[in-house]
Amino acid sequence: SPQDKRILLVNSQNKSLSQSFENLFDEPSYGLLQKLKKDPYTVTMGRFSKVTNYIFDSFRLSDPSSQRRPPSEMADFLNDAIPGLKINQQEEPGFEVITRIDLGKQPEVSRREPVSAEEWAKNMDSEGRILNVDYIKQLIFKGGLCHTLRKEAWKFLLGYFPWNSTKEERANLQKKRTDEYFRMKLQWKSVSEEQEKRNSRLRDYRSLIEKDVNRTDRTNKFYEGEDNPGLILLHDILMTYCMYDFDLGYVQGMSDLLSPVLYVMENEVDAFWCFVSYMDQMHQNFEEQMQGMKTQLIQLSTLLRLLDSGFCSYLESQDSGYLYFCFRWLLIRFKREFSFQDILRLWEVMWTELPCQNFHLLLCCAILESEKQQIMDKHYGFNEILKHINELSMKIDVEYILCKAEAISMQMMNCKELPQAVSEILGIESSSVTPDSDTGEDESGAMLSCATSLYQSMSTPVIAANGTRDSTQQMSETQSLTPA
Amino acid sequence: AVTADRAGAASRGSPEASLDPDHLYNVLFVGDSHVGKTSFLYRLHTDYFNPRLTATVGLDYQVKNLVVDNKRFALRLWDSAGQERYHSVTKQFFRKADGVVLMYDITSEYSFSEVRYWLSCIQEGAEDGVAILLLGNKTDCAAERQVPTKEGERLAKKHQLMFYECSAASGHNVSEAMVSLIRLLKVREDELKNKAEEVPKPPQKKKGCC
Repeated sequence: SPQDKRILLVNSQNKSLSQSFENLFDEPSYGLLQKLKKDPYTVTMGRFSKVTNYIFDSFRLSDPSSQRRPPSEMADFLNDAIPGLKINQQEEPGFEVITRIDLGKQPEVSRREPVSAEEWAKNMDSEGRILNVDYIKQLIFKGGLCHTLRKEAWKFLLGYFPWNSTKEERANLQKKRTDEYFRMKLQWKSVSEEQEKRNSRLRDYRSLIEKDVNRTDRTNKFYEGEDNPGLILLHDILMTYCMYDFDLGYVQGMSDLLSPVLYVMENEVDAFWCFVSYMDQMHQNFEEQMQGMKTQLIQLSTLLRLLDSGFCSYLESQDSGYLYFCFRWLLIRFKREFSFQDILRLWEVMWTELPCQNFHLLLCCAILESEKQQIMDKHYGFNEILKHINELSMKIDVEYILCKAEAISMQMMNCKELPQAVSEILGIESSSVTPDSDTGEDESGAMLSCATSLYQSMSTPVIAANGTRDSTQQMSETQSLTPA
Repeated sequence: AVTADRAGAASRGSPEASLDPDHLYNVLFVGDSHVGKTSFLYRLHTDYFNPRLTATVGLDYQVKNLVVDNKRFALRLWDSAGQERYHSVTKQFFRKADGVVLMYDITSEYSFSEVRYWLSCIQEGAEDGVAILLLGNKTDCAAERQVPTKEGERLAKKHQLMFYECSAASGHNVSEAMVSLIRLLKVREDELKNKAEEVPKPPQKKKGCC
């Protein structure tokens, strides 16, 4: 079948490519993807041209995760990425990299009211266990939480409280965590001035935290004015986090992530542990090599290419194909792009991990798609795009963009020939999915087809549900099929 | 219809140039965290001081139009994040910059010591003829000064940089510094043009670098 052919093509391609990785990486400024594109062409025939983009996608996905490049080589990622992700179609007129996958029309999506305290309480047994986790997550995904519920519900969403814990278990956990917190807090509190003189890292963390606390959300009531207790809490939690994870310490942007959490928790210890959980998700963004940022930018470009390859090509022609202008969005999860209240909504929706993995990347796609026309019509260049995107801050309608991103997720999930790379990013099984290259790399063709049928049988219920109107139901099934 | 204000006097708030500038330059702002890069740009843009500006993450971008010596200039100003973690990102933009504003805080010895680091980055990443302005910010905080003006001057002289001290808070020397930078950028542009016109000649060595 044509699909089997594709499997073989992609895999053999990856093999030959992996052999040339070494040489490619040795070059200081390799045009990696350019070469990736060129090499297969010279080796193979024109019939590859149609799957080029496919290879592209799977390569780009596997690049940061499976190809562990030494830090020194990764250091100048963007330098690599700028020439690397640039696809100059003029250079190779015969091989246009355009995916012709029809995603169909974007479905209409509506949102519901925020979850009320009553709805939340109804879904809890007498000992305080959450009864139907998937259901409540669906509700939160579709409408968010009413503000009074946030203080409790966020602890579950962020993973501080286990969903199946009883009230008593949670109280015990909190007690334990309180002790732990104050033990760590005491550690930095008890460092004398003399000691700190000999501890440059602690000194640097402290000085940065002091500077940033003074300029984080200062227009918010919780942090405004001088000597606001909110500021002291923000400072103390960030300092304690440095003791919790001294290797990472404090990186600018982290105060943005903590501020709404603290605002909702109104409690130092709870805010700290919720922040710890949030940081578990965001850790890679802040690490030395910013691996999380690189991975996300590449993933985003993979998604955007499927969604709108024309727009992608346009961005590439403007030296913006590596989507650097989305850096701030991704680094601190849109914190600076929406009003404080909207961020509370957006984050709780994202924390449900519905309807698919990496939903925040679909939010990026949704925003970019909304701005595409203006960017292209006005023929914005590198600088204008950066400026335009930066200036969207506080102008995006959160509910509109949530609807749009959800609609995109449905389009992708319903897509019959979703590229492997895309299904991996979103963590969904698509109907005609080919097994991914790393599982199949060293295995025979028989193993591959075996894996394929397994995937297909697993995803059958999803396909069956695709036609139904009840999209939320469908998504929960998709979720349950996704291996943890 | 452009007001040809003699910006030679470098009066603050030189009139905005209309669209279609005669010259267009990319200028990247670098320097340690919290030295006042964003505040400087805010002052340049609005002529106000905003003490509540958030820390820059990633890269911000603004355009400033100025009329200097009867010519319309547009500056594309890139504002970068100061923390070391983000330097690998910032460095990618040196390549595209015609000018770099290297800022330190006169009340912070540390931020001044970082200048050398940034100079090596510029040398590594930027084009040879890049115009560099060394800018000591926060002259309004004279009582807390840690870096004497002479130190700044000495460093600038050693590396052949343009040098100013300024205050984003008071507005002192903000447009003066930018006007001087524009003039320097213009000189560098003319040099490049002249060089391009004398194509047959072998490129002459003009080097100020150490």
